[in-house]
Amino acid sequence: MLAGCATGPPPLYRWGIYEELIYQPYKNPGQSDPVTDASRLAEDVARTDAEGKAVPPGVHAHLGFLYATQGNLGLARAHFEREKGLYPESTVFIDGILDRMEQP
Amino acid sequence: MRPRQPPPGIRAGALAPLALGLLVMAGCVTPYDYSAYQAHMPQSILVLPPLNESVDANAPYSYLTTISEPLGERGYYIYPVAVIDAFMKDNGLPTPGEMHGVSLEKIDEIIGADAVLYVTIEDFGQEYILLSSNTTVRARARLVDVKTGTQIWDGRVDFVQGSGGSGSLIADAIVAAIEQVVDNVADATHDAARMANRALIQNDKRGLLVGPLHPDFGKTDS
Repeated sequence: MLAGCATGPPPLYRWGIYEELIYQPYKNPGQSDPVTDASRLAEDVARTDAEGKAVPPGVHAHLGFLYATQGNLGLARAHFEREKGLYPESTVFIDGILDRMEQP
Repeated sequence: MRPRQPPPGIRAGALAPLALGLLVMAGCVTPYDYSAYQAHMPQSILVLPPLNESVDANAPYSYLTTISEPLGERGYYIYPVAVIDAFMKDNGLPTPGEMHGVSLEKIDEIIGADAVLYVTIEDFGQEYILLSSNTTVRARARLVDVKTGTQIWDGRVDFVQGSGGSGSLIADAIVAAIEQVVDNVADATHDAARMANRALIQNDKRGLLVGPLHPDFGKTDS
């Protein structure tokens, strides 16, 4: 047990506020809005970048989703592309979202 | 009448090695068979919102939103859980039960995940016993290879965290009352869900294997 408390290898990613942010709309429905959430998450991602750490899987996709929800398709597309660039594993899912976004 | 047996102290001493042996043996259960897992090592994992057998309606989403970090840190790509949930709801699948019924062919075609993690929450919540409380999270999970339908891993977590009182009855009563009002109760189970997920996944004997996105992947075959 003591070994678990010693300084282990550093985490792969900086998770920041991601998990807390995605929990709130479920916990308190209607009390969070995508505009505020997007700006909070974008700020958090900027901090991760500034610290030279890795943005975890799913974070850019969630940010893209928040921008898409508020109709900001330009920023939505940029973050979906960013997810794909960092994590090619997301390609099938993200390409599907991008295709559906193109349709009016 | 003098007993013929040795005095109790000696008897206990003689039994001690046996008791120790039993303890050691209990820790030495058959190692989990990871051969199917190793044969279908996933790089990406889709986590669906859990099924709920507990009485807490909030349990699936509390659990779902604490699972990305332990899975990601284990070395896998994790699809954005809330986006997946919204996407499924938009496509006529309003509940976790319906989402769990989606065929692996569809998941392969639309999401492209290598494996799906199906979680069922068995128990979730806080129980008050006098002035202390127990926070319980019990869940089971199955990891299924999308291309072949093979179950490559399963696990179960039984997490119980007790919180004792401070020793002062009045203080405890006040704390208990405040906790009920300020819904720290929900946060305690949410924190417990986070710890339960870590215990389930980041467990070197019985959890998920280190995945391809981890720098240690392939270094040890443990």
